[in-house]
Amino acid sequence: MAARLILRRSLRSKKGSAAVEFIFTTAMLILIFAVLVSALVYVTQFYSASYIARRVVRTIEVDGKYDEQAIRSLADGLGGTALEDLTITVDAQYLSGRRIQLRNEFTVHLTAVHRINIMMMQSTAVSINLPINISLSGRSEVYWK
Amino acid sequence: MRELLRSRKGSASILFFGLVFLLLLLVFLTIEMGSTYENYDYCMDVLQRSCNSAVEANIIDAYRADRLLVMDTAGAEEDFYRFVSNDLIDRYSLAVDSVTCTASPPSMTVTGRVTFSTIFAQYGWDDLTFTFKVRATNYDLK
Repeated sequence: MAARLILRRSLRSKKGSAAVEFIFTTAMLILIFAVLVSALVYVTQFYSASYIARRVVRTIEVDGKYDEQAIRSLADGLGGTALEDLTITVDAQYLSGRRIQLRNEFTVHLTAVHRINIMMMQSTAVSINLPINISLSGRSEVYWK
Repeated sequence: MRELLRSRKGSASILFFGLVFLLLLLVFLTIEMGSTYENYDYCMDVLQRSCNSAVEANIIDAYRADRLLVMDTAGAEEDFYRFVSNDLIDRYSLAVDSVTCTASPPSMTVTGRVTFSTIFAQYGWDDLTFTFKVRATNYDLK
């Protein structure tokens, strides 16, 4: 009976309510802050991937052919190593081998993942994977005779 | 009211909200700046590609056998306009100031302006205009 009375009294007590409110508000604000910082990082990563895709398209346009190894090293050189699971594929109608005829259209698909690590549970990381998918078209500038 | 304005209570929360607002603004400006840069890059790519392709497509093959490079200048100019109108999407408006072609060596120089709107257009801001100069020359005898 006495314990019940103490519990009721302490639940009704207003002491420390400001501190509890402060803790909840601060936690919420920190969460919002973290989400915004992550969003900023994701946006910059997305634009970085978009820049890589544009340079890849331009290279294929100027060369008039798709050289997988050269494109891969170009992407890595432009900072592609910082993107996780980066894959680049090209859809095109080839003339012969990997050559694309003048003015023929091709599409470069770039996919990658931006990983946000939330916490570590023993050796496993709990993370959110945000996809980065970019598709850009180009046209060959080389006339293959 | 004066007392309320002088009160120091809750200053940390207000500071934090201010920081969050600034960060939100930074995210928004980063997105818009990136988008503007992408628009500019896209237009320049299309213009440069059209110029290169117009020169490449109008080299007269009959001269090539004699290791001479001669370009059909009228055809190149026509092709440039055709390629640009095919490739440049409607949200960009293009104004060409000059097209200069030389038959030998085959070259083409185009100057002009491209205008496109940004997200700020809905708040009454002017559209964004940039000037461009693209040039293509072909010395390839193969």
